Amino acid sequence: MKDFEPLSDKNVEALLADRETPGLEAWAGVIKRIRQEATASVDPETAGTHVLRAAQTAVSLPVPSPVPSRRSPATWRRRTVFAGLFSTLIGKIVIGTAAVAAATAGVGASNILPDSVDNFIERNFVGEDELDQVETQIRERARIRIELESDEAQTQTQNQQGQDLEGQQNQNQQGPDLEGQQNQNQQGQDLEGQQNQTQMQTQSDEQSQTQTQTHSGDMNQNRIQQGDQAQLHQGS
Amino acid sequence: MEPAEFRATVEAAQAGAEWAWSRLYRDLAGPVLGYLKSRGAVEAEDLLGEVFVQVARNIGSFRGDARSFRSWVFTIAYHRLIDERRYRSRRPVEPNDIDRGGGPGGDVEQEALQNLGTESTVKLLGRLTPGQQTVLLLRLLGDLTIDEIAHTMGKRPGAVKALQRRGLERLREIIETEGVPL
Repeated sequence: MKDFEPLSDKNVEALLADRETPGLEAWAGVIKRIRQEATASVDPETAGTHVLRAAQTAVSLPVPSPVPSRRSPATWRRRTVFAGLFSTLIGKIVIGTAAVAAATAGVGASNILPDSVDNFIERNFVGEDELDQVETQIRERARIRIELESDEAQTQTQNQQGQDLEGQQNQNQQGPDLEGQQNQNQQGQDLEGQQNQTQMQTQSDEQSQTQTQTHSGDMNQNRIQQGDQAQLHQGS
Repeated sequence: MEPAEFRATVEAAQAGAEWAWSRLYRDLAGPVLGYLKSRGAVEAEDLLGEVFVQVARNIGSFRGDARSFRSWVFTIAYHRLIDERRYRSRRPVEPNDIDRGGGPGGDVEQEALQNLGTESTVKLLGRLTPGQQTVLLLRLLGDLTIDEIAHTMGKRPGAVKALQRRGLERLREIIETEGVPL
């Protein structure tokens, strides 16, 4: 039996590369026999079938593209695994948060927690009552803002009216007092109305006088005619 | 095969030339079939055909020399062997297999080694661990480097080197203690 010397990595590489290795002839013989005996012979008919299938497969395939058309199974598997882990982690966080909130609310309601914890929760967590108060405050502020805006709108309207009245003042050459202007305007309007009424009355009086005069004239004439007729009767 | 000759053969094989495939098959079919049988493939010749079909599917993307091509083909054979074992482990039990004493629960690797013949060195390899067998066969038959085997098996190069060293040490022990004739 041949002696087998211990093998270093360098010697193994030399043996596998079929290089001469002095002192390692026994190993070289074993490796050569393994290569010979492990190489199997293929049935010629089977070999022909295999070659034909390989050639047909190579012909039927399209020209490979440099960019892969789909993800490899390893990428798909990795993506699926990470997606599952991520969703599981988020679910655990949500469940844990809900459990802590529920436990804290229950313990807080029963006044078991120490004052420091209660203060922390009051500072950092807002309950439904606090939310209602905040909502009420917001609504109150909104109402005040609406009122202020309506007041501003009224003020603007008055200013606009004041500008219009100033224009009228300039036309009427009246005093700066708005109420006075208004009163004066009103009075002016009344005076104009009175004047118009007076004119109308005058006209109507004149008409009535005229009519009266006419009517009296007619009556006088009638009287005259009647007198003449009476004189005639008396004369006759 | 000379580099230029090999390059022309691969280009012809990519175009589907039957002569080119016949030449590549003649160079590699024997070692690949030996590797598959040594590693316990039950239907090794069918598996050999599937290996070459896979080579034909991917030969368009191959770039390299003859040694790289050999390593590449053995890498495909390694993965096809793993696929075959997974498929057989999921296959339902058939009565004929039980009658023959086979089936999914049997030691198919040992059975394949028994069917391989009386070659003493191959039987010696069958007494190593699966990892040691794979490393030594890929190194001896496929001419794969340590790094290539590490990449194929998903291990670190140091781990592959350790498997190789322990496998050779185990072979030496068996030969020296049991007096295996070489």
